[in-house]
Amino acid sequence: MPFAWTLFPPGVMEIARLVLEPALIGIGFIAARSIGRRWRFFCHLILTILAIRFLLFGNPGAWALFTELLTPAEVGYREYDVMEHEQNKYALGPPPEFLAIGSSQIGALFAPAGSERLELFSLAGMGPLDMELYRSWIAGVRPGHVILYLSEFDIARPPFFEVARFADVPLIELPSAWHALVTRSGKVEGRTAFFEVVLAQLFPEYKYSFVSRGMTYGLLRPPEFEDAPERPQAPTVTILEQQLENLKKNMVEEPIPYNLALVADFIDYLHAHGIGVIIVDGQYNPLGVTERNAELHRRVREALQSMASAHHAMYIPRDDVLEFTGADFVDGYHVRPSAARRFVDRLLRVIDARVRDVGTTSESN
Amino acid sequence: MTFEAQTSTLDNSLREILGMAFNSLLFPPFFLLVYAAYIALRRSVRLQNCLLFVASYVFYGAWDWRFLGLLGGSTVGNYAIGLLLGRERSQLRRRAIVSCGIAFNLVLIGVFKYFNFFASNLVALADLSGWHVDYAAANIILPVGISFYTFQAISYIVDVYRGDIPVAKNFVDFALFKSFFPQLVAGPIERAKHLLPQIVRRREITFDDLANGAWLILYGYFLKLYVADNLGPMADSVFTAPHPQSGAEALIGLYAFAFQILGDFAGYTNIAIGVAQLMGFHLTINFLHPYLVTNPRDFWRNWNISLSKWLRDYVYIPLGGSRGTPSQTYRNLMLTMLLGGLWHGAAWTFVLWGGYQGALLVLHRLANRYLDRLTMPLRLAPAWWMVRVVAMFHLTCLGWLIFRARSLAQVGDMLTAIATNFSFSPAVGDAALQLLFYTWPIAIVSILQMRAREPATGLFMLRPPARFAVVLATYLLLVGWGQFGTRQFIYFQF
Repeated sequence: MPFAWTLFPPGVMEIARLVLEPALIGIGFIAARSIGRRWRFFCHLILTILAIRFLLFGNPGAWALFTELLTPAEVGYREYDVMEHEQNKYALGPPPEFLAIGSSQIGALFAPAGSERLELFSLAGMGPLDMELYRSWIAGVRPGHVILYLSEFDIARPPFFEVARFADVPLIELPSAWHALVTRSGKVEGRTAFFEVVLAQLFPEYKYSFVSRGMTYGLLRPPEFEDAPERPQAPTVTILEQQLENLKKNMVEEPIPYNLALVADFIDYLHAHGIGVIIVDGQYNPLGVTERNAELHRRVREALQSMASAHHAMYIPRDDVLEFTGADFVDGYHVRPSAARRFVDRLLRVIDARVRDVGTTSESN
Repeated sequence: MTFEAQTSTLDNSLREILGMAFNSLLFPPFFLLVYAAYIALRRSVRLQNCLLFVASYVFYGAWDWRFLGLLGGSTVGNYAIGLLLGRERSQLRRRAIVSCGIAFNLVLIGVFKYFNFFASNLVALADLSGWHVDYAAANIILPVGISFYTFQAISYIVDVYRGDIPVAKNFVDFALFKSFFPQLVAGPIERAKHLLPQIVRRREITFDDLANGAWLILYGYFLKLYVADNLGPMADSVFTAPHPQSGAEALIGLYAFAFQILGDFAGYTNIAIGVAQLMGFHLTINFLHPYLVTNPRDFWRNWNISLSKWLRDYVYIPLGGSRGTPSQTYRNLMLTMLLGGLWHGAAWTFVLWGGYQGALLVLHRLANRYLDRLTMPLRLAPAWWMVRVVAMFHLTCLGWLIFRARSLAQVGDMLTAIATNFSFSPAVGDAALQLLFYTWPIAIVSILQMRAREPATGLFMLRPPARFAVVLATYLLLVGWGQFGTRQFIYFQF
């Protein structure tokens, strides 16, 4: 059954919170007057903390300021994307037809298209674990379809447990977070990450402590940050070489079952909320493909295809859309805007055709 | 085993098992559960004690269940020794029993903490005298907190022997005294005279207990996660480097370690005292303001107070204390502090550190009367007080250098760099700013504690608005800048 916050258009619940939170804090201060002097100290302390929490992390203005003042080099790429996500949460608008979800790879692919039909939710290094952790927020956007751009690049890599705490996990969703982090993974790191998620939901100051740390680093300028790279805008030989090397080395078989299970859970959840799922065969720079990667690609592709058919999702192989060449990439993972536009244009046409076919088939049936 | 080696051993075991340090993510839910049950059982002190006893063993077993056997064995042994002492009337036999009791505890700590140290030193000595011995170090895990609960047990049997306290007849009460989880693994070392009566009687939890306990927990976490864990990497980077880049860098690393170890140890004991106080227990205050003192005697009145008092009552005074000639007093001081050094770890650097502290105390005794006479006109000038505080802080830091260094060669290296190559660089300036950022709140709280009538709770002498500001700032600095990983507490290794 869908949760309450998935029943309203995107942004409505956030705007409601924006109005209600300060009002409730104000009422709390007034009510605290009637409490005994000793306990009033504690009440005032808690209310002041809530007020500071609202001022620093509970409104879009604060997040706009933070994204302006801080750089990814000071806070980290994922953290910077989390700040942008927090700012964008308050945007009102009709539910999109498609919501593309994934890492910065997806950002580079879908952002240049500028299609009104499509919205984007991308976080640096986002993988199946993050999709599961952010699932209630994603369902709250109420897209017609969610587009997942998946390949061995996402499935054959270990999950980033250390950033799990940044996710929007409402307290009611904690059992599913336990399932994703602990039961499914069976790892001690997963258990630690779960406790961090709980701590982060109870103490947003802890969740967003990268903001205060980033500010301090900006002010105190420790030497290691002076050399930290900005997010690459143009390819450099070093970054490309490093990323290609990562592609050749970093993919492993061990996390494949875990990541596939998370994707299956995510698809089921979206279906339960009336959201369709389209899995698009993901691609990275062919220069990084090795024999082993090609074998992993075959395995992951087969698994995703059979999962799509078992869980009533659409699977679109790369040959149906566009196969990228090395020249289409800015670096190891991200495509050039021109290639991205071509790809998205064709992808939407393929999806429309498939939806039409399904519609025709069901009508004729 | 040097500081570094001990730390890495414990790191490895921490990786393998999920311990329940106060900064682990398991501790808060564990304590909340125990506390809820504790409050529910408030009508029966016996049931409360049973609950705390079981909780303490769960807490300790979370480090490594094998340690439970040792703790249990030590508890049964000391309980039996206590009962024997209680029954025996003959002074000669009582003396024999207490000697056996002390020997029992020393054997436990000797085997588990010092066996490899003494064995390897004996082998080295044999080698020097031309007698070759094949020896491979035994694989003995250092049980967490063994030094704390062993010293606590020794104090119990000695106090029973002296007739200062009655024998604990109820086994659960005694076992709880021995294993009370807030102070089990890193102190404060509690005396039976102080803790056992609190275990036996019904405990009232007042509003002040809740307020003071909550503040001590908050400030303890602040000291650990904001001060110690942020300064730790800064100190590590200097002490793990083959050679210091410059004297200024070495000095910053040394200052960072001085505040890291204070934040770490004082943080742990503050949380321990706070957690206990929420349950109506009042543990011994273990740290006050050790870096705002003007002489080594005051340093030990403010640093690890429970250990200092233990050493005074069970080593220094039995050795003769200051009752004999000055040279006997100096000898007693040196022996006591050497033992204190060895208590910290099985390595010559710790023994040397103990010797250094003993030498400081002896020198202070020797020079005090002359210095007092010479500086009489300056006595009331705040500037003179500041000079003495700064001088004493640097003497303390020199001690920390010996304590933290990998080897004596590193001590020499760093001192040479400080004396001959004291060059500033932008990186050192940045590090100094960071050091200041992470230490200024300690200075404020230390001053509050110095000025308070009841020094342990300096916060509560402030007017409500100022108190409010201090608590709020502590909370915000903690959650905004704290390192919420699970960097181990340094004193677990002792």
